[in-house]
Amino acid sequence: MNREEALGAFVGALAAREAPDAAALAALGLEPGVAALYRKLVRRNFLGAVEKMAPRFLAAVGPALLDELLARGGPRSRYLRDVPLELVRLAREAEGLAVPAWAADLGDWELATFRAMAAPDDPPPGPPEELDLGRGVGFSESLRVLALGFAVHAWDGRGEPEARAVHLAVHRTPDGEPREEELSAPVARVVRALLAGATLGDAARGGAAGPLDPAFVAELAGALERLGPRPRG
Amino acid sequence: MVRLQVGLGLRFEHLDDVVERVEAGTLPDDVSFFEISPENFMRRGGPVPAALARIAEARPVFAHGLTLSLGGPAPEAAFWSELEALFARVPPRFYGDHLSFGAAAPDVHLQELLPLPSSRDATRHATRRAREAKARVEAPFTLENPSFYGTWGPRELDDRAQLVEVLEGADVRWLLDVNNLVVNAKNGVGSLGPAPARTGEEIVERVQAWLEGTPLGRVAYLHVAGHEWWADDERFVDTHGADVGRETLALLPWVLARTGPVPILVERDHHVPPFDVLVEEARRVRRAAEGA
Repeated sequence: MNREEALGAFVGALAAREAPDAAALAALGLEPGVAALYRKLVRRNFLGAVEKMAPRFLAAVGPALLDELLARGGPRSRYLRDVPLELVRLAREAEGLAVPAWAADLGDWELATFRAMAAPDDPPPGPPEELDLGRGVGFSESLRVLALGFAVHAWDGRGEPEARAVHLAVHRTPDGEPREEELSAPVARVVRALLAGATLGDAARGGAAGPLDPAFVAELAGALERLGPRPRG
Repeated sequence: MVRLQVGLGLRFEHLDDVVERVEAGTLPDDVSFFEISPENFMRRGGPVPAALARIAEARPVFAHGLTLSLGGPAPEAAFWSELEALFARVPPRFYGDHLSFGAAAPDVHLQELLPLPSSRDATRHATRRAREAKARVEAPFTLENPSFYGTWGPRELDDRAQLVEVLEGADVRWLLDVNNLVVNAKNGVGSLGPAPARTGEEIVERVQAWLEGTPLGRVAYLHVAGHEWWADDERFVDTHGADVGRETLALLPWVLARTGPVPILVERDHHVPPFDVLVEEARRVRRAAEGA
């Protein structure tokens, strides 16, 4: 067994769902109690990060999901703060897992504020400019618009969250504070199109899916003002 | 007499408190420096790196990584560019990591300091990796001796020989973790075994004997911390979740007499108390180190 194979086998012994057999450990010269302790330490580190960043998500899915992540090869990112994200992604994408349908939404929402607060810094704002229908609109690097199937942000923890389409804008204000706002579906469509690089005119017409009536324009203008847009060329 | 520098690991829990004290000019002199895990401040914006930059104006920062995984594959290019970006904003006095591995493949990270196999190949590999890391950063590179709970691999050399070979082969500084040696002696593992050292005197004597003949002139600074007994696992675990243990404190004057007055870093990662409690712990460590 060369070095790479040995490290892989060691990690495999810690990550396996079932305790590795004695022969596999003997081939590594590793005591079963030592392998078990390292597995415990690995799980402890991961669970600590998830408990801190997404406690309600963890309560909903249970620590078994972490075992699933480990059995599938473990976290891909070197940053411990990414482990909860990877776990939420697993809850959303993996088939056949015994997790509530709303769990991934809950995890995404719990992590959204942290992600906004850790997003790259924005360049200093230039002088104020009018928005222009023929130009794009830039936002803070921190802005994300979550598309959720459950109203997890309005859930008090009793029963289950209401099943409905929710569009949630989460970002960091210029003062460094987190902000969260539910958007209507048309406004969310506009903001997503703007984030994808559309001009304001194209995005607004696409979002309204018809003539731009004054009420929609007013709603959109209010939302854009709160999201702190800046013109983009 | 040179006043010993005693520092604290910078905890997220204390970030606002420390910044407020920096702003108010009330950060205690007993905290000579802060140590950070660079991964916690890399690839992110917002208030956390801004707070670090403010703190770095008041105290030197030592950087001590967790994911370099010297026994495993080299990090992705983005890791180095992110690290360089951080160090451009906050130049550290030292940068280093552990003689361990946490990734067996470039994209699988277990976030734990796993022991290297006791093989010459693993030792040569870690030496190459440490040499490369040293060449990447301006700050002196430090290598920490790890705690571990068992040895594995072909037993071609022991952990002490492995450490010395990497320190000398890569020509890097030594981050001497005194607590790790105490934990290894209390568990009786590797070259601090084979049986657990039971009494305080036996632990201290065994660690002193282990250190004799090691390249103590390479020591850049010391780590001290607490550990805990995990009954289910029948081992002392290096949790950094308790006050610095008495054997570790007892060893400090002996170590400093041989290394010279190097800085001492107090680590605390679990059961983190309020900042003032850690400041008092730093004072306790200083008194012990000065033999008071």
